[in-house]
Amino acid sequence: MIDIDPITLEIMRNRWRSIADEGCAAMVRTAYSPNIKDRFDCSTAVALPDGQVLAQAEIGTPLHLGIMPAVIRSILDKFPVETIRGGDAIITNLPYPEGPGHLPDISMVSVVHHQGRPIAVVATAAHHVDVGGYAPGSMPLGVTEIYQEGLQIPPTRIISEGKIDKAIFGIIHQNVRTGRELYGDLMAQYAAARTAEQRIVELLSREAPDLVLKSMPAILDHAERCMRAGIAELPDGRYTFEDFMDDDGVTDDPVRIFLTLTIRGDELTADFTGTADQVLGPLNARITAARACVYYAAKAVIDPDLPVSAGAYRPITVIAPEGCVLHARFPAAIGNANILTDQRVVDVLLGAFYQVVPQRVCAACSGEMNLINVGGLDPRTGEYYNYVETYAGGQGAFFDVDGQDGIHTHLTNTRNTPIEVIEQAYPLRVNCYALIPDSEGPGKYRGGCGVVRELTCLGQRTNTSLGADRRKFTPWGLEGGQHARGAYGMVTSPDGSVRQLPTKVFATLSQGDRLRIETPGGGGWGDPQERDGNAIAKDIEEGLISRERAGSVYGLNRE
Amino acid sequence: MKIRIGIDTGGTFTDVVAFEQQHDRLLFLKVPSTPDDPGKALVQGVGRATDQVGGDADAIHLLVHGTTVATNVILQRAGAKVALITTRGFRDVLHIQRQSRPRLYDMRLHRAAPLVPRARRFEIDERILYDGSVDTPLQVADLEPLIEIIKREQVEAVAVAMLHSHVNPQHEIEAGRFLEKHLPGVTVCLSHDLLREHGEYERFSTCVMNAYVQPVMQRYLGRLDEALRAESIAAPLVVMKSNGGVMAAELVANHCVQTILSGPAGGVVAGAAIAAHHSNRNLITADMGGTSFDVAVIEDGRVSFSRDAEIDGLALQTPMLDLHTVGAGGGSIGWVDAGGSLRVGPRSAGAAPGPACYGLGGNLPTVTDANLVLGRLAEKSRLAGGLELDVEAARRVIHDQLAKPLGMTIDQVGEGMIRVVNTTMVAAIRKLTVERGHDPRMFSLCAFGGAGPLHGAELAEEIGIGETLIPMAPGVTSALGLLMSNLREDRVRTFIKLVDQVDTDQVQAMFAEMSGEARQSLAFGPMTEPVFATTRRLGLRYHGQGYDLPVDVGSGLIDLEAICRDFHTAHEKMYGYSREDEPVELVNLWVSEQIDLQAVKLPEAPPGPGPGKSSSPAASAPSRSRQVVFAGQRHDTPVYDREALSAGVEFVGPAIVEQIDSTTMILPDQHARVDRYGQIILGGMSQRGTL
Repeated sequence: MIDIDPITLEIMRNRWRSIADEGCAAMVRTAYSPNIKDRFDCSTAVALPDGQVLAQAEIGTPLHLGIMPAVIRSILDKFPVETIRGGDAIITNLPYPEGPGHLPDISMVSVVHHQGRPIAVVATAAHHVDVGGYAPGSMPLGVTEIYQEGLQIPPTRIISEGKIDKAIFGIIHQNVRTGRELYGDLMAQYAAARTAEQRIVELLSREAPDLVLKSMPAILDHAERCMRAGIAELPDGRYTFEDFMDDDGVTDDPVRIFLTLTIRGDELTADFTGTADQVLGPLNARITAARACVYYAAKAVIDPDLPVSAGAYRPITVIAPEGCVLHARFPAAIGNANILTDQRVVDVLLGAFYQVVPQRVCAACSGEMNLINVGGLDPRTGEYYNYVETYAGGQGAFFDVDGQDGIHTHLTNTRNTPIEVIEQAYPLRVNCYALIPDSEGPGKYRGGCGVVRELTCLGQRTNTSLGADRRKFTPWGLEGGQHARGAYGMVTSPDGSVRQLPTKVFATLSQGDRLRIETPGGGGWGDPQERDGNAIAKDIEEGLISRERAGSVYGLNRE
Repeated sequence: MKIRIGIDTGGTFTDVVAFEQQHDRLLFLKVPSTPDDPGKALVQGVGRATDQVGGDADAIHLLVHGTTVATNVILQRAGAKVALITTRGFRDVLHIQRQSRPRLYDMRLHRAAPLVPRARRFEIDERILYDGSVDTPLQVADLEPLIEIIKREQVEAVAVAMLHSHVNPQHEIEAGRFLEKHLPGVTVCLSHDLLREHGEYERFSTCVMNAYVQPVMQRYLGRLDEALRAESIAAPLVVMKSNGGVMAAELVANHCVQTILSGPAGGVVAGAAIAAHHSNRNLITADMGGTSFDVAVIEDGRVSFSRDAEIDGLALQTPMLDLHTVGAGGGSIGWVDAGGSLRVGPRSAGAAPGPACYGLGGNLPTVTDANLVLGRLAEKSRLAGGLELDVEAARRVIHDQLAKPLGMTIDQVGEGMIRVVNTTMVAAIRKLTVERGHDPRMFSLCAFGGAGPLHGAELAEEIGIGETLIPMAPGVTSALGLLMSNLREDRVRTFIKLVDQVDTDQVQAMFAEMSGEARQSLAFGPMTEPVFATTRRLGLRYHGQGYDLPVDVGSGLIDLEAICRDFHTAHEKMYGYSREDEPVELVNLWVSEQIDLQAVKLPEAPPGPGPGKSSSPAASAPSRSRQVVFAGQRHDTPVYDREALSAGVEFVGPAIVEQIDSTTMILPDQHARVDRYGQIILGGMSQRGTL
């Protein structure tokens, strides 16, 4: 153990985290695309030169956490750390062999030096609007290889001592639909890097540099102690759980996710052996993302306040055999794994943790992120537009409280785009944005309701990717709690004809078409017949549960 | 005789500051608060202050009130029964909020429930589009069935909030007229009237919050008016708003949601007045009480505004001081985490049971206990409430719960707790400075509130601020600020357009209309010919960005080219780069109208006993001394009485300065002087490491 007193440790830990926070705030405030500026689909981390993450910004997405060390390592393999100068920025979005879960997540890495020695790495990841490929938003459905999903950028020095490489950027710009946004967002990532770098330099000038350097491994060790103490409290044993995704959007075959969770002493192993082989459609996850899922679930279950750093994950082992859907081989398509497969992996993890600490988990949540990715020419300006959003669903119920209605869960916490912004920025009209009555998973404590949003397309051709799941395998309940309603999508043409859409689809919609998206609810907890009468009465009064359902499912007017 | 009185209602005490104009006299006093009916303490305090100044009710010519009534209505969910009328398809906007959860990893932490339940959120057919055009006209007859329901349900307030009403408010206005006509005695609030900005969730939420607060606040102000009349006090009452300006009580009663920050706003206004008279006009105000720490930034003598605030999990968007609050105060509790690290807060022992040393049943180690064992607070010292501090109790809880498990001494843990809680406060200060692009080293720190002066020197050192300023009466600085504020109304409107497509005549016309509205809402009984001071600003960004930067616009014709130049400069300063080749976009217009109330100026001499005009050496002799721990060492530390420190006095730390409402700590080797305003200025220390 490194010799550093507990008070200094706590102070230094807060400082490193606030450095990451400040970097992320600069990125959000200067970014161009709604994904980052409104929805915070971005992260900033500070790491040791070997890629071990020391601190991560509070906002941001848990998925990026598992990805950062691999991204940093892949960049440093090509650009040895001492060759990255101050003001340089290296970017990559290469998922294979180990990297981000999909191509729109571009990472940027820069290095902070002290007295000629690299002492820290600042890494950002941001979900860019579009990186080219088959469909706007670069997360197409129905594709089978990564080449269809967009531009792959190997580790590349895009900025040299503050100057952007115009030739390289020109190639990227030419191959994406919204080059202007991409440039603005890359600059925002650079603003984060420079801000964090400046704070680190200040820290080193104010404190004894030895102490600062010593604090870095000590912070990792402290996080490790916290995690081990948390795991040690859990009963030892082997626990298994499985769930299925409906299909991969190319074939109709269900996709099995199988987990064996082993807790022994102060260590935890999540072994996904038994999970389905990789699939044709773009649901193939990276092992980096599988790790992120396990880290998320462990922190959420053990203690949401556990310090976030690489040290916390030393007692955790993640196994996913190469060739399975969680560890696919090149060049499998991957684009929707982040929003579908990974979210389902968390449901499976919580299903296993339910057997360990039932009171700390909820029943299945919507289990997918309901991605909508719309693009085309805006008839008002003649320019290309691209609208990306993920829609919330219901949260699963707990042993003592209902799940929440219409809320993002687990791996995503991005905000919605205001209706007044959608209509101003894109050729779309929003007809409704509401909770879906009777979509909850019934239970003594009910799951949350799903959400419906209906959009009218005003452009001539509206290219639409929808990524959803949980129509066949709906969100499950626990302890006798029931399944929630699943995901639906449909299009109503101006002539009144209605067609149902598959959960995973790429479609070109015509002017006046109305696109309706309905997200799943959350699973229930306990027997619905035991639900408190006042709670049922309130649900009826609020119009979230119909009288019929209250009678048939909850046994209202029961004796 | 003419007396102006400021009354700041707090949780424990109601602070009163009276200013007698003729002799330029200031008087401070505290009376116990009466939470069931806050007006009782107010009337009592006004009476006592008037007596002590030697005047009568007729001598009072203005009452300025800072109130937490609106805040408490929200925090306690004790507001009116509200109904919402909104565009068909959108009644769940309030429920879904921004679809995100409060904390990323905390599954069990629930989002705040809407203030109006779903069953009372009604939808009607009408639709206005983003450009203000009417897609589906409103038929007021559709409202008729709702009138019956609202009457039957005995709804007290109706919020009318429709899509795109910030661009075209016609439907809200028509609905509002109809409702007012058919629902006498029911409060009707229109979303565009409270906020002319895009973002439906934030606007709807602001409107509903106003409807929720207004009936309660109106009743409170009504009772207050009666009580004052019963005492024959005829002076007009003005109320502090969240924007740091005041407004006549009868007018604020129509926009009650604007008083949500009425409580802490006074301290920020005082900070601005202090900055205006100080050599450094950049000031960070740090108001530290028992449970919370409020930070605000004053740049070049001006307060900063926030437009994206949240109260207890509910969005509130109205021009508000940019106040950042964290749970750190004298009552914050120290604990040891599973990894063996010392943590402090966010849990607090509050005022009851309070710190262990209060002897009121508290048995957890708090920051106040740490200050006491270190000698920074005096043993057996009496707080303003007459409470005596028990150092043995403090030592006991720190030893048993922290020092023993950590294998450290009580002194080490005490200093550790202070340093850890200070990092929380430093993070709060950084959030408002560094994260907004301000370099904290350009600022002085103004530390007040009961506990602020004990921590100010170390906070400043930690964050690299060179100078700390302790106001004359730290415990009542917020109340003093009430007397320093002017009538003020701010108006903001969204208007999105690329700058090269903007018609300056249209912008001028909008500014004029906004000024007219703002001036009307400042109309004020005693003012026959008010003189308005107008400030105008444009919010700009690079086309594509999501956050705008404010750029001042002079009073004359609008010069867009010059404004864009200023914007590039501001962006460069804030984020380290500007992009002059990029199109600049206009996002919003901001107008502020003020009427000077000839507010109280920063007092020059300390009040109370002690002439405070000379700087004879005797005046600066310490009254006593005690052992105080600094950096692991016990130092024999002189203790001064604040009343005895007159302007011009200088001394070097370590030192402790005691006064009835606060204790100030000065670090070893730190230079301290008292300025002409009776403020202690700390600074002038050699650069040291802080660990």
